[in-house]
Amino acid sequence: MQGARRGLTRREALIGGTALGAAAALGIATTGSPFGGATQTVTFWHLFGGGDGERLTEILADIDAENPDSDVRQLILQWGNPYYTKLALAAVGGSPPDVAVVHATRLPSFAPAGLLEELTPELLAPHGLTEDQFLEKPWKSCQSGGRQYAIPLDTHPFVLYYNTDLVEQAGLLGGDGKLRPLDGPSALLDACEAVKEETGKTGLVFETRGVTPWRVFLTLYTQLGGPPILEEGGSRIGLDDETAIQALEWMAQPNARGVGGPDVDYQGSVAFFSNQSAAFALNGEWEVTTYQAMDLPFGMRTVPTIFDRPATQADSHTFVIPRDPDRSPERLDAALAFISRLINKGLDWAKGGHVPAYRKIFESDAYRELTPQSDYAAAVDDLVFDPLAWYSGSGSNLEYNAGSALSPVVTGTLRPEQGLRTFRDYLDRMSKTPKPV
Amino acid sequence: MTTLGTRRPVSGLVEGPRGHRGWVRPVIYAVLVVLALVWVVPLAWAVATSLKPDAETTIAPVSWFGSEVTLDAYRVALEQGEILKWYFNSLLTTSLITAGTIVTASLAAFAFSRMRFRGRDLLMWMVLAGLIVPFQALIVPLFTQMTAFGLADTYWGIVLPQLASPIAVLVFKRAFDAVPRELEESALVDGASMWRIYWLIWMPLSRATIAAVGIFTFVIAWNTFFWPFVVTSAGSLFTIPVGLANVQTSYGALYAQQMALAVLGALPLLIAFLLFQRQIVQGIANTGLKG
Amino acid sequence: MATATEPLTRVAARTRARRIRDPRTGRAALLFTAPFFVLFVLFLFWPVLSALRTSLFDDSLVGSATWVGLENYAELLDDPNFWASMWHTAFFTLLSVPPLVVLPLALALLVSRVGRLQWLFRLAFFAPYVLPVSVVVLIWNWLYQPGFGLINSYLTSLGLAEVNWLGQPVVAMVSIVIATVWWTFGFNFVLYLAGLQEIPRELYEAAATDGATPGQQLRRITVPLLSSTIVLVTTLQVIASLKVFDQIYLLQLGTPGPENSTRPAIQYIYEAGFTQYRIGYASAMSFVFFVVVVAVAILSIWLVRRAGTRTVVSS
Repeated sequence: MQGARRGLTRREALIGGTALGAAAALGIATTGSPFGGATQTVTFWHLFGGGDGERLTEILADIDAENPDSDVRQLILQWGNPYYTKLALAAVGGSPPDVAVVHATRLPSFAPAGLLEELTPELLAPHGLTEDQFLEKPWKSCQSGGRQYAIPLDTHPFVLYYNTDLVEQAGLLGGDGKLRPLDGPSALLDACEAVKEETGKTGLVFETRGVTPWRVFLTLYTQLGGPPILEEGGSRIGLDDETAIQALEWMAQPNARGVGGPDVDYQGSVAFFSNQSAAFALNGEWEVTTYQAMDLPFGMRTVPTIFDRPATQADSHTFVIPRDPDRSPERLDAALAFISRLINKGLDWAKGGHVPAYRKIFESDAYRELTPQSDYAAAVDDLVFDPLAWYSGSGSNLEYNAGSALSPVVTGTLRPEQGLRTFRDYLDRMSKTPKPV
Repeated sequence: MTTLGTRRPVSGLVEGPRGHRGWVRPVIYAVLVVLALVWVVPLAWAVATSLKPDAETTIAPVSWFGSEVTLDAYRVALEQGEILKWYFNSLLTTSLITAGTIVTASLAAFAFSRMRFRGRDLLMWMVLAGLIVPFQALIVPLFTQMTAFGLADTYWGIVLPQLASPIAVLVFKRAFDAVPRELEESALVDGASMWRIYWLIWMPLSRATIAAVGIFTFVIAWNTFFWPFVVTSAGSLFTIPVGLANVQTSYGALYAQQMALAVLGALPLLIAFLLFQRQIVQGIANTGLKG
Repeated sequence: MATATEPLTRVAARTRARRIRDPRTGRAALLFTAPFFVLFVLFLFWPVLSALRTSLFDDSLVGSATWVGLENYAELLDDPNFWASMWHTAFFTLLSVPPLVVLPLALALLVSRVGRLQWLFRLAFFAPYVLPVSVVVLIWNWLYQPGFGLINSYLTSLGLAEVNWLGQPVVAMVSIVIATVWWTFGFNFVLYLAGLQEIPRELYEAAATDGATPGQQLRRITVPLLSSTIVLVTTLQVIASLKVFDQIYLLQLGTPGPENSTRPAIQYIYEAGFTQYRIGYASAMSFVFFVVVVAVAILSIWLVRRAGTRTVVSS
């Protein structure tokens, strides 16, 4: 029995140590992650990761440093549907954050359901957030049912990136070192062919395995003057087939002429442009810092007016205040003050490629001097947002399904009519599905 | 208990008397070596990519080495700080799951193995039925349940649904059944309670089973993606699989960095595997066979 | 050293033990089984019932629920996307089970013949199994890239055309299966190795002395004695393949796949519940899927039993 007792002691020690460790683990597990989310003065949720996330974190640090009464705790959630689901759940469950970032096109999932505070002029004026302070289109996009529910931070339009070296070799660079205008149905395609001839490189690349085909489509469809694709909050389809086919036929051209990029996902499309395999790229403006960091010789400009009128797909990042019956007026005021401070940091934010919606910054010299950002600032005049519906908007079901349906048209696997039919079937289904919010 | 890794070849084919010997063995070696290399290539390529300068990862035709070997990608990946958070979260949740599974399953298995009680057969059938239940199909009701409990986006939310493991109960029961009755009977005669018998006799004797179940549970729990992905959306709670899932689509992450993150994500279990190869393989094989 | 009194004391001790044991085991059993079963009922049993209940409502993740009876089930019967996704799951299973049952067996047979380097091969083939799915997806997505991806780069250097691994229907599913086989190969592999090791060497030696060729030994000894392992591996693999979600969802970046050809049943259920907020509908689909998987599992187990008896009879 002596031996057994000695063994017990050793075992007991081991077990005791494990128990302590378990207690510590349980303690942490119960009180929550040590990495964030404790009680704070203003809670702020957003979905910016990567470069944008870093930039925003720096901005928040600046705000806290400059304003002694500011105490902001940010919570970064996964971009896309997980973010919006979580936000909606929190709003419905009664414990939402004070301030949240919401894409303007996603407001239909929140505002009509009464999940957001209405931002009346009385609330906004003391913080300098009045209508005249903002660009018109972004401001209007923050409204729902005639009421204001959000404050726009920026717009992020679709743009045309071009490799200045390759473009120069093809003789497409103007005297000012910028791309010559390429408006008209064939100008961009001809330019791609010129590049292919002179340099052997691909003409135009963009993400085909994702949402970008939808964004290109929407841009072209609107340039053709097509009627709104969805109406009545998504329960009626206004899509005009003829216009859609025209847009899709153009989209199939680069590949048909042998100047298009490969069937590639988002990272691949970025890489294809950054390793100088392609002269042109269509994407949102947010990759500007990526390319700058690689010292890539590139420029940016608004998407050419290929058809009748200028238009470019875009969305807006906006700030909302989810409704919380337990929120005190002081806290509401602190939230608005925070939003105002963020808006005023718009120049720093613009360095990440986004176009500020705050007039003071948009019209400032400092912003005008930012290149290549200022080269596409004019896009704000001709923005087209995703159609307003509960299943539509940035990163939504519609964008993914549309991208999936139209991508084979771009790669030439399917004819425009076939891709369109798949897309229409999807819209048919969704328009008949009852609204969940 | 099967032990793998014995030195002598337990062959499925003994050489026949007709002298195939000569060329058969080298051919087998050759085939295996080629296949093993093929199996290693994906990981090796990931490592090779992660050691290149980012700009050189996308040039074609590809080469295994860049102009220099650089740890830049790892530096950036670690500086952003996220992966260390993920390590912590994975370690915490997986440890809780492993400990919890061992405790609850062994307790229940002991009761099944050593005690008679009303409803024993019914409960045993429930455990067997639990083996068949596809966890993935329950994601939606589990999520609404967690939300109702207020456990969405918490560590407990990640851990709790993964604690009940029918397979662990079965493995423990099998092991417990094999312990001779005499030990129990003499202990009972000495006046021991069932708890003491469990704690002081059965568990120490089942060290190997505990290790097997523990290893099996740890590996599976560490690599679980779907449930943590659904139940958490706050970046501060991401485990390694969930955190890495965002990397592919977040803009600004270039390929060397992606591969560096992939390698870093693979590292903990890979290192554990290299150190404890025999135990891990045995643990998984035995749990799989017994369960 | 038996004395006259010993048998009596032993009997008395046993009776005492039995009397003491019964009432204690009753209560103790409750305490022992409670932790497991509380968790089990809460997180395995209850969700099944909950799904059944929710499926009878038009419930929204963020809104209210209205009773709709069996409408959700009627809708899913008519929903081409649901049945397409069930087919994709079945297709994935059909593609993945044969290689994951046969290849590990073949390699286990080969590896078991090798003496000194067995650990090395085991390492190489099993290592991917300890990787999380996200790492596997990152690596294979990178391998499959057009242009500068390793595989396509080698193809073009050999003068062959590039393959659109992840962007073409059917090819995409095959690519996913290839990545899956690479990843989960090790599990079945070690199960087979363990099974092979349990076959006594003497059987082979006896057969050899009787003049049996290696081929005959394989057919008459190895396969029959390994049959229970083979069947176990097959059953586990079928069930695991039916539950596929992670690698398809991630490799196809959350989309339905090229021409909607890869989305598995679980992903469609996930989308209905979490991106369309339709919990009721998702619950109905979950329940149908659950029934299908359980049916397949029970069928497999029944086949297991039958195969087992047949083996006994034939050998």
